[in-house]
Amino acid sequence: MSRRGPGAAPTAWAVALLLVACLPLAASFTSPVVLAPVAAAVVLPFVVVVLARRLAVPAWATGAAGVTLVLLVATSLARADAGGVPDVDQAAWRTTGAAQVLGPLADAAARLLTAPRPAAPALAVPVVALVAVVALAVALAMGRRAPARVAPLVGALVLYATGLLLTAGAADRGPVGVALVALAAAGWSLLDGDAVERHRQAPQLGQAARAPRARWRAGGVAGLVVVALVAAGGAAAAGAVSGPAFEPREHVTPPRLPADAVHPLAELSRWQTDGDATVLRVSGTHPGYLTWVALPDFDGAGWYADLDLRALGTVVEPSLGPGRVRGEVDVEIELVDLAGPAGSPGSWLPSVGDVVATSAPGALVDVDAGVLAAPPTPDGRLPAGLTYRVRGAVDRPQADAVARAGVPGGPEVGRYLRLDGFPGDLRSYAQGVVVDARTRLDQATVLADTVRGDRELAVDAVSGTSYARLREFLFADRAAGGQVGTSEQFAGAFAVLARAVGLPSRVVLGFAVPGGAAQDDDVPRDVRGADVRAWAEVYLAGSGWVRFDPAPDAVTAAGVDEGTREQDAGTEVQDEVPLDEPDEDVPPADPATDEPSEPASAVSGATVALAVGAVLGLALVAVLAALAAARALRRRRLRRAGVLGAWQHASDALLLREGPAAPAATADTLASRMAALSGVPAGSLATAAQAVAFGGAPRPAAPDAWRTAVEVERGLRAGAPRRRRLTWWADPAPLRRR
Amino acid sequence: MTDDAATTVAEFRVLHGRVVDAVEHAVHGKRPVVELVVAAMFAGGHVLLEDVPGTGKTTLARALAAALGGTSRRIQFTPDLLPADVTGTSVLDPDTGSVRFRPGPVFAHVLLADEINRAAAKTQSAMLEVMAEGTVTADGTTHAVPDPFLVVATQNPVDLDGTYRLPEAQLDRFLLRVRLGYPDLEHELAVLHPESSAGDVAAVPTVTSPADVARLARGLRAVHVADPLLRYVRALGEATRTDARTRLGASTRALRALVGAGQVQAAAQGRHYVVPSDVQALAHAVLEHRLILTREALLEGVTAADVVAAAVDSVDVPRPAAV
Repeated sequence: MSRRGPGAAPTAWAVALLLVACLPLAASFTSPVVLAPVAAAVVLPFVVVVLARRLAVPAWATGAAGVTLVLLVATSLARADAGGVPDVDQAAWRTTGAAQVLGPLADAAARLLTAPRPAAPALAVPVVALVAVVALAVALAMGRRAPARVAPLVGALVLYATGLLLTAGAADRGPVGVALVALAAAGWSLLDGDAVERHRQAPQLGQAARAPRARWRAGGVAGLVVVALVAAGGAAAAGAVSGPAFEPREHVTPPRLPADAVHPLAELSRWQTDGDATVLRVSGTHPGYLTWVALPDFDGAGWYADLDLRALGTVVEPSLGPGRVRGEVDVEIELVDLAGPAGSPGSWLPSVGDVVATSAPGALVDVDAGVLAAPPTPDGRLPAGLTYRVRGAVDRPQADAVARAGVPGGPEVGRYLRLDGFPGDLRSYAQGVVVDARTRLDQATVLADTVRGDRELAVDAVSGTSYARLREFLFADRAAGGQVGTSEQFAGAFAVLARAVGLPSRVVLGFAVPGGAAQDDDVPRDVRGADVRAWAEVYLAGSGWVRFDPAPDAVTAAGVDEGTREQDAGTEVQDEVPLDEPDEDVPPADPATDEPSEPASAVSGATVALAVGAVLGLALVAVLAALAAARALRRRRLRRAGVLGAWQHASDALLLREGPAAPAATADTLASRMAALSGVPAGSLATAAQAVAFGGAPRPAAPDAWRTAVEVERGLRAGAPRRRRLTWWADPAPLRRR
Repeated sequence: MTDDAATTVAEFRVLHGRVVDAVEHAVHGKRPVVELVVAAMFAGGHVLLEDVPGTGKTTLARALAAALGGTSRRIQFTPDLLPADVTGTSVLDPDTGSVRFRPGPVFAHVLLADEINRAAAKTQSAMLEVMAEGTVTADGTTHAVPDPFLVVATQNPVDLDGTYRLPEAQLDRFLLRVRLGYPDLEHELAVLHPESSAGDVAAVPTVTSPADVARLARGLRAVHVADPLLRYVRALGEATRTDARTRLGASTRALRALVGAGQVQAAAQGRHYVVPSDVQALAHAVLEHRLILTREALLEGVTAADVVAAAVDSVDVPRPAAV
């Protein structure tokens, strides 16, 4: 066991390198307080390893003890942190052996991977553990010979890459990477030689006569080339990657918070009957309406929302993609009567579109339904006087696109086409209504017009959206309770009929903001009870969710931008789902969908392989060129070094021809071998070189020496096997010579 | 390199050749061994010749003394030999009535200690002082032996009855241990020839004087030994010390002896500097007899030569390097 360490300067350099590499990791958390434990996790292992060396503890024992300690501490912290979380859905393998012990740490890693970004500092345990293990490995590796300069680079790369993966590349846009490369290059070129190698070196003239710094620098040239190549390769790879950054969280199922299915439509009548009460106030940029809760599920008895609430920021894509044209939403909402003890039950926060950020504390979101919710409160109601800001994006369907749009197929739309036990008469009615419609938009429009018809909107009408109530609403006469309904029945009837003809639909309970859409509206607008309403939305490919409000008092039937709508947009559209045979179970795949192909997907595998091959080929050429340049520089330097340089040139050639010489081989032995292999007498060259090296004499100018060395080299190369001749000029073996 | 040093080296090279040639009048076919013994003399060391009887050990020692032109004495070591028989003793001078020191046979330029291992430990120990310091102390008075002073001891490794193993301290004082071995066919035939001069010590010409030898020996201390060479020698010694098969590795005195012998070897080649091959050429002769192997190694048949060979093979030799 060697007690020799790598020296103070290389150790400080390694610590600095790791600390810089940890910056992206620390940036993936909400608070800079994480920097402290991360820095400690870098420094402490080095301290431990230094102490262990002084106490002559074997490296393997230090490593094993260090890793065990890190795992114990991390597991304990993770277990304490997860104390309140019940063990649900625990896999069988987790209940046995080491998996049970380390389970909390694995869970902590999963929680971190699925947490909103940036993550809370409490989730930093796995990151700190990783940093500590990497730092320990680097500190131990630096005590060994070969990786003394490589280990810090590898460790830094691991930590840096982890930071980027954790943040999908957002943690560093270049500065930290550049700093890492600069620091690595500085270390490789400026630092003094590492003590380990110096101690282990054999007593050799070249090493004793020259300072170790010179040897370090000689090795540093190769190191700089490697660092530069890695940096250039990384930059080139980063530039070559198109499309969104790799997001590891997409590969993990985020935790889901339990949320009971809710039937909030009853609240509609409550607010509409107290039409003057100010429900909330709205200011900022918005499309003229707010979503309270979207109801994507229909079970034949009513509309409800089986919400899938997750922390805001969790990376989960909605099952149905957003429209191509989107508008910005930045709205400030003050809850008035909606919240508090007198407000509505439930924790849904009025919002609009896909929420990107909100100031509402601890907000949860269902990305499919676009529902924002506050954490559950003891009384099940929103806190009174809550004011929050919402930023996000909302679909802005364009008229011409909507007119040509079809509907997507696949299992994702099944939820929005589900009609359990759907009565045949309602299906016939719906299909009869749209029999002349040529486009999906026409179908929806005709259905909306049909539902609206001459029917009457009444806030005190009988509520409910069951098949029976819809049949009564649509088909019974006024005396029998038909033809009159709240916006609930209008929206519900439309959505059911739309599903019957294959249009993915849902019912939304929300608020119509008086005055319509607003841009940077500073004056808060009061949204009253009368503005609470229900409408329906239909999903059209490429346009997203399109609003249809079939109620008689609706301002516009369809929520589309009319400016660019073509009047004759009656082209037949071929859907993934046939018009006349809506079958959500087996939607036929139709390549003729109007979804244009994404350019990225057009890149074939062969092209990628070709590009990768080209990059690898270029890298290989660059490496060979760098090696050849380094060899040429060495040859030039040797030529200027007189007899010693000439001798070393000849012995380099012998190295290339036969590989490393035996340790006991003296210069005379090598000269004999050179002469035997090349036919050129090299004894005088060895004698002259030894006279300079061991005689303490000044270096004589010996023009013949270099000529002899070149002749020896030619002779050795001429007799070398073909493989060695091919790599003769770029073989790095002489560069590594002691 | 100073001019004096260059002159010394050149003069020594000539003289070395002449001494070796002179000794070869009586000892045929053993030039490498003769060169080693001559080198030991100029290095100020002593030689242990170890071989079976009849290989020319005594002849070599006597021929060397003859070539030097100095005084030579011979002691046949036997179990009843007393220390005073070697170093000398104080006697009463009847003419003057005073006690005077009568020098023993060690007071000669070349002392042939024949079958040194047959003397008792006490007598062997009497050799320690004179071998190490070149002086004899009797009755509180120190007497210097002539300069140069060379002990050429012989030892028979086969006939071990009635012998005493030389103590390590004394072995360490021998610069070299060499084995003559049998001559090859050509030289042995020449020796067998009735008219051969082999063994005829009287025919060995005197080619130098003790004073010249002492002067040149002092001058050879100026032969340059580069720092990498010193490190190399030290690494060789360290290798013998860390070898698991040795109980005792090469001492610092042994390594100093190796350096000194290397200087003489280099000068004999006409060089004013030592090169690694000088060290390698002398490593076995200088180091082998000083190593003590472990019992296990001895049982396995390992020899000191194996240990030294392993050290020479494993330690990186210094070579000229420009970068």
